[in-house]
This record gives sequence, C-alpha cells and structure tokens, in this order.
Amino acid sequence: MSQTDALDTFVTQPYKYGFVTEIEYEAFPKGLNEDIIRMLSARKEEPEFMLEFRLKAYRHWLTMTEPKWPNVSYPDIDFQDVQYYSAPVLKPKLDSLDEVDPILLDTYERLGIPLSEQKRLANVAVDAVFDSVSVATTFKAKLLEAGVIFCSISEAVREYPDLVKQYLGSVVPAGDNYYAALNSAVFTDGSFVFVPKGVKCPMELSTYFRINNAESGQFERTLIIAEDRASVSYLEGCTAPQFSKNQLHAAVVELVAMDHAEIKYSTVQNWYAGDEKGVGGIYNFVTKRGLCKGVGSKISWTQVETGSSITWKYPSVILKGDNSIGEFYSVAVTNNRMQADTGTKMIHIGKNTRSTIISKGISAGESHNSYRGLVKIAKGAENARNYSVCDSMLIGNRCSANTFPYIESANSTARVEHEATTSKIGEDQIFYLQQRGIDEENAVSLIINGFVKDVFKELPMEFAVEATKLLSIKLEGSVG
Amino acid sequence: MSERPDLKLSAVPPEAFPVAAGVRSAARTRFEATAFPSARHEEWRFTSLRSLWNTGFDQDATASAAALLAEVALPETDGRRIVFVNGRLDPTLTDFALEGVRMQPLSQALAGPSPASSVFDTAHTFSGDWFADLNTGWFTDGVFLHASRHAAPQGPIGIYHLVTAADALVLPRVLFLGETGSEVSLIEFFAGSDGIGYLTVPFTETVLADNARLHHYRIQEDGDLGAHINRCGSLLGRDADLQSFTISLGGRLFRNDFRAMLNGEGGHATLDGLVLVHGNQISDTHSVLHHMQPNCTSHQLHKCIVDGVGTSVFNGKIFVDSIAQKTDSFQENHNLQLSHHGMVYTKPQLEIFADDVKCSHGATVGQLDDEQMFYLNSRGLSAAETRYLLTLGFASQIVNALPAGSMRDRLAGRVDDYTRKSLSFVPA
Repeated sequence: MSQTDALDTFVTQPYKYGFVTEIEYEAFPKGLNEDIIRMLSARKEEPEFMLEFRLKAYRHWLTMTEPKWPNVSYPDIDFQDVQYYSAPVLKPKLDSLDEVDPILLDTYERLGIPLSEQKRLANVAVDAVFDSVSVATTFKAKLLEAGVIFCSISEAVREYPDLVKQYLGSVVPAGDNYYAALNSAVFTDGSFVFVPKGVKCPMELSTYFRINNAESGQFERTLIIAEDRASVSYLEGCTAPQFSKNQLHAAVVELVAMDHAEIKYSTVQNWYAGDEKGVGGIYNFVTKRGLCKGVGSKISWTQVETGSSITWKYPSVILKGDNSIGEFYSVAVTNNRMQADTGTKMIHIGKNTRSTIISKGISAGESHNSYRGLVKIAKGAENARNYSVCDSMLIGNRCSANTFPYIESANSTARVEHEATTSKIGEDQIFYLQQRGIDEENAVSLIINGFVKDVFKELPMEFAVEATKLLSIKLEGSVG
Repeated sequence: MSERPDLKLSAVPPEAFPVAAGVRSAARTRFEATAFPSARHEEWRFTSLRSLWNTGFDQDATASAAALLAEVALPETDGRRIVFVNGRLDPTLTDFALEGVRMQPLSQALAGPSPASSVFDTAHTFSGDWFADLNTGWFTDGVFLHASRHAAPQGPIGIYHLVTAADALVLPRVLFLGETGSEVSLIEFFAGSDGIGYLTVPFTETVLADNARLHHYRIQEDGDLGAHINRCGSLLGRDADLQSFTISLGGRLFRNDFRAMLNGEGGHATLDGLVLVHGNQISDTHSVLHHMQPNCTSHQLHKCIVDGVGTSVFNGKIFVDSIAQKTDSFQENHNLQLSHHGMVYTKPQLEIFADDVKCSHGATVGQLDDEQMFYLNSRGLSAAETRYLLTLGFASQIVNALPAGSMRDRLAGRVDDYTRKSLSFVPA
C-alpha cells in the first residue's frame, strides 16, 4: 500500500455517534427576541436576577457584530432560524434515575455513557445534557457528603442563587464577545461545580453533551469554582447526530480557582463534523476561560478536538494570583472540509506566574487547522515565565496548517519562549519502523501517537483510552 | 481633527512615465479610496500612527544635504554612489559608473518599453496598502539599476536616501533588476537630520532572474524625529539567492515591510534584521516569505533590543503554497528587554498548504542571563561592563554576518554607542 493510501484508510471512518433518538419534544418556536428569553427564564423558574442578566446580555448582543477575524469561512448564520429551547418531555422532578425516560438512558448507553450508577466506573460522576436540558446527574448525594456541589446549572440557579450570582459572568462577562453574549442571553443548561475549602473532590466529574434535535442550537454554560486548597478534575464529552443542516453550539465555560486551588478541565470534543463534502456538522463557537484568582492556584486545560465542522475556541487562563500556574494541552485533528481555529490565551498579571502551552495540530483532507495563541505579560508580572510549543502535521497537500502566536511583553523580567514546527511524517521514520518488522499502517499510527503523546498523557485515564481510539478512527485511511 | 497626516503632494504631470502611467493612476485611485491605517487593522495593531495625525508633510520641501552625505558616506561606495535628497534623485551628489550595472533615472527608464517597464511594479503584493500606493502614485523620480547577465562587480553600490528638509514628505523609488547569473551587492542607507520632523515612505523593488544573486543591506539611521515607513518587495527566479540584512537604529517611528516571493524552484532568501530601540522609539518589522515553487529555502533571524520606553514589533509570516513541496524554512526572533518600561510584541506566523515541508519558527523574549552576568562579575567586570558586553554579544550575531569594511565598523560603533547609552537606564 502506498503511503497515501494507508493514510487515506487511516483518516476516513464513519461517524459512529450519528444516530438520532426519537423522543417527544417540548420546544420553543424558532427565533430570538426578548419574549423568547422571558419565556425561557420563566420555563426554568429562574429568579429575577437571572432574567436581568439574560436581557442585559441580549441587548448588548444586538449591538455587536459577528467576529470575522478567525481563519474560517462559512455562510452567514441566521440566528432567527434556531430553536433556543428544545427539551425532551420529562416527568417533573427527577428523584432517581428510575424516573429518567428509558429512551434517554438507552441513548446514553449507546454513546458509551451508561447513566445507572452501578454500571459506571466507580469514580466518575456524570451530568448528562440532552439538547437544552440536563437529564440526569449521577452520584450527587455521594458528592454532597464530601461537600461538593455537582448539579445542572439550572438547578444551581434555583438552589444556590447566591453562589451563581456571585460567580456567573465574573470570568467571561456577558458582553465579552459575540458568542459569549449570545450564550449569556439564551443558555439553557450545563453543569455547576462548587468545591469548598480544603476539599479534594473524591471522584472525577464529567458532563456529557448531546445535541439530538436538528433545529435547535445548544447553548450550555458551565461554572466551576474551587475554593482555597480545593481540587477537582472535570471531563467533558460531546457528540451529535448526523444532519445535513449545520447546527450552532455556543458554550461558555468559566473556572474560578482561589488560593492554592487546582482545576483540571479535559475535553474530548467529537461533535458531528459534516460529511466529506463539508455538508452538515456543528459550528462550535466556544468561550472557555479560567481565572487563577488566588495565590498559587492552578488551572489546566486539556482538549482533544476531533469533531465539529468549524471550531472557534481559545481556552484561556488569567493568571491573576501570584505564583499561579496555567497549562494548555491540545490536540486538534481536522479532516475532510473541517476548519479549526483554536489555541489559548495566557494572561500573566501576578508575580512569578508560569504557563505552558503544548499544541499539536494534525490536518488531513481539505481541512484548515490554525493555532492562534496569545501570551501577554502585564507590567506587574515580575518573573513571569511562558513556554509554548506548537507543532503541526500535514497529511496531503490540499489541507493547511497555520500558526498565529501573539506574544506581548511589558515586563523586562519575563521570559517567553515559543517554538513551532510544521512537517509531515518522515519517510525515514516509516522506513525505520518497517525494517523493524512493523507494517506501514501501524508505523504511521505509532508515529501519530508519538506526535500527540505529550497531550494525551495529561488526560485522565478513561479519556486517554477513548481519545487514542478516536484519533485512529478520525485519521483512519488518510495516513500512509 | 483628521485622523491622518495632511499631505501636500506634488502634481503628477500626465506626460511623465508614459509606460507606467496606468499603474500609477490606478495606485492614486486606490489611495484615495483607502482609509489611513489605524490600530483596528491587524497589520497595524501594535504600531500607533497617531503621531502622524494632523501633521503636515510637503513633498516639495527642499534643503541641501551635502553635509549629511559627507557624514554618512561609506568609502567603499565612492564612484558607485546614488543619492536621493528629500526624495529626489540628486544628479550633483550622485557619482556612479560601474561596469556591468547600468543606472538610469526611472523617468528615462520608464519613458518607453524597456527592461524596466517589464518589471516595474511586479515584485510586490502591496497594492491596496495606503503607503505603497502613496509612493507608487506620487513618486517624482526614482532610480533603475540593471545588472547585466553574469555581471559581478566588485564592491557594493550605495544608495543614500537623505532627508534634510523640515516637514518633508519623501517618496523615493528604487527598482533593481539582476539578470541571469549576476551578483550584486547593494547598500541602501537611510539617513536624516536630527531635530526635524518628516515622513519618508521609500519603496524598493528587486527582481532577480534565474541564478541571480543580490546582497541587499538596508541601514536605517533616520533623524530622531523622522518617521520612516518603507515597503520592499523582491521577486526571485529559479535558483536565485537573496541575502537581505536590515539594521534599524534611528528614527522616531520605523516600519519596515519586506516581502520576498520565491517564484522559481531552488531559490533561497535570507531575511535578517537587527533592531535597536531606545527612548520612545517605535520599531516595527513585518515580513513575508512566500514560497510559491518547490525546493526553495528561506532563513530569517530577527533580533531586537528594547530600552527606555521603546516598543519593538515583529510579525514574520511564512506562506507555503500547496505546490511548494520540499520547502525548508526557518525563522527565529529573539528579543532582549533591557528596561522595565519597554514593550515587545512578536507574532511569528506560519500558513502552510503543502505537506512535504520543513517549517519552523522560534520566538523568545528575555533579559540578560543572570548566570552569564554572575560569571563575568566573578571575573572582575563591573556591572556596567557586563551588561555592555552581553548586549553587544546579542547584537553581534547579526553585525558579524555583514561583510567586513567600513559599513560593519560603522555599525559596530553604533551598536557600541547604543549599548553604552542604554546603561543610563540601568536601575542603580
């Protein structure tokens, strides 16, 4: 098999999560206006301050224009052609999983995320979000024993309004950017995590996002707060059925780490990416930002981006507390007509702050893969330190790999290092492995696994296994 | 208040440059339709042009430059010297006779179909750029240098761009064509009087035919209040070789845009630069290395030293077209921050469409190394001497790459002055 053929078989593989669940829906009419937002807020029985938050964001959104600077192109989005609320009809008050619609349980089973607690890996709690609402959260009671609050954000708005009021929008303000403003106005659900002082969260927390309805967008909102000396590891997974229509996913994730707290946030993003001609797929416009508010706090983002027809996502860390640490590990794989413009921002404000960026991009087919990053050293960030590596691999000559790193330094004690490379799989590497008796396809997959190893080793164990499998599926057929 | 400079432009006689008239009037039309760049333009995000707002610049301003020339002229370029004074080619100060290289004013070279007219305005991609169109539309005269096949004159050609008139708008234009197998060394020297404000927008195009080689040195020693925004484009044929060095020392505002197009197989471009910033200077270098054909190589090393409340900006782009397989491109940017108030912005950028390539870049921002300082201190050197030596060492990587001679001595001297001067900013 020629090298290209082996690569081709390596990259093309059907999307196995493309099925649709038939379920009865309660949905709002298409379109967006203040009435829809009032309806949404009323439907979710939110306190007054939330409605104000939403309306303010909506009014601000109306004054904004869609960002055109990312290195992606797509037809204009008609924001009036989206359902802003779509939820499976549920029995009121879910006290136990027995009351969750069996169709939904079955859906998550098929996605490999069994929701019944007995079947789960013992140490992972899951919040399952289906279109606009959270349908189940596991291990809630056990977590509460340790003092950890883990629930859907809608529930948090009702049950813990003070915490939500204090932190919501404190890291990503409602008017931060076009999609963050849209999300602030219409977000429907997501997860809320609060880890109190000194508590080490006893299990991995995770949210599984599923878009099922072809007409709806998903606007989720996640808020994680770790108080002094608390620590938590959180995973996020996403899939969607195969539709020929593009769907909008605009999420906002906010993390707050107080003194010596540690938050680790991992994502394996596998939204439907459209077919090989670029028809359909999710537009993934996400704002993720962490605030290292306290002294010695640490926030670490790990992401494996393998899906979405368009990805626009820059998980960032604001290093405000002295001695705080920010990390970003990313693997972005694009194939067919996918476009990804992703990277990170590390904003150093506090003294002795450190950040590490490891980004690996793999582009195949006719895709475009861009890394865009900012390392900013503010005037007061004495002895700030950044190290960035950004490597790209190209498979075929119809794709592109781009690197746009911005470095801005206003402090003469800062040290910033950035390096980037772009290359293909070396013929000499393949030759070496072949003469050791490894066939070409395995040689290629071995080399690719080596290429992404630095990032995958940061993933929690369960995810690392999944991510490795995902990578080989995504690239099946394109390497060789 | 208008958010742009007030330019007093010379009228362009309709009969001038007949073969370039279309190109020039198109540039004027574009210019009128283009907004003056602001921080909202990605290319101008970090370099403010506010200091030019509402300031008058007159293209007809004149003053004598003989004294300034005497001060900056390099002895190697005697007899092969071309002098622009306030944007106009000065026939009295120009003194040029060189076997293998023909020099003509552009007004003559573009009077009818000629080698110049076939390459004029082809070696760049700046159309639509406010400053490039300003130059193309309104330059009064320029110079055309034509190196014949396999010509390899000894010693460098010197082009001196001198500005001595206050409030002058200076638009020099240079067109270089190196025929097959030629090898030429060209020094462009930008200098201006201290104490006067002016705006100079030089535009240089170099076209290298197959196998031609050009050593292109650009030294910027503008006056302390001068603003210098230049455009330089280079088009390389098969196996052509461009060696370009830009050294930026003077001026209040310096913006250097260099774009090299590797348009033949096996071409090579080196784009090195050294920037020394002190006081409240702003120095901004944008470069594009565009690989358009297979098997080309490029190399870029750009170093900046920032002192005072100065600002240094670097944006280096490498574009690789999908046809340009086997490209080997390397780019490095190192910044040395000496003062607490300086700003460094750097953005190395790769846009790659071919898979069988080796492209990499590295960028660093840092200070003098504590261990190195300790080592020198422990050998008995004072703190001041230590800083001086280490800064000089950082800069000398570029200076030492220049061919020996008065130019290198002069630059070494300037770097020396700079590093000593920069010591005044050392906190006690």
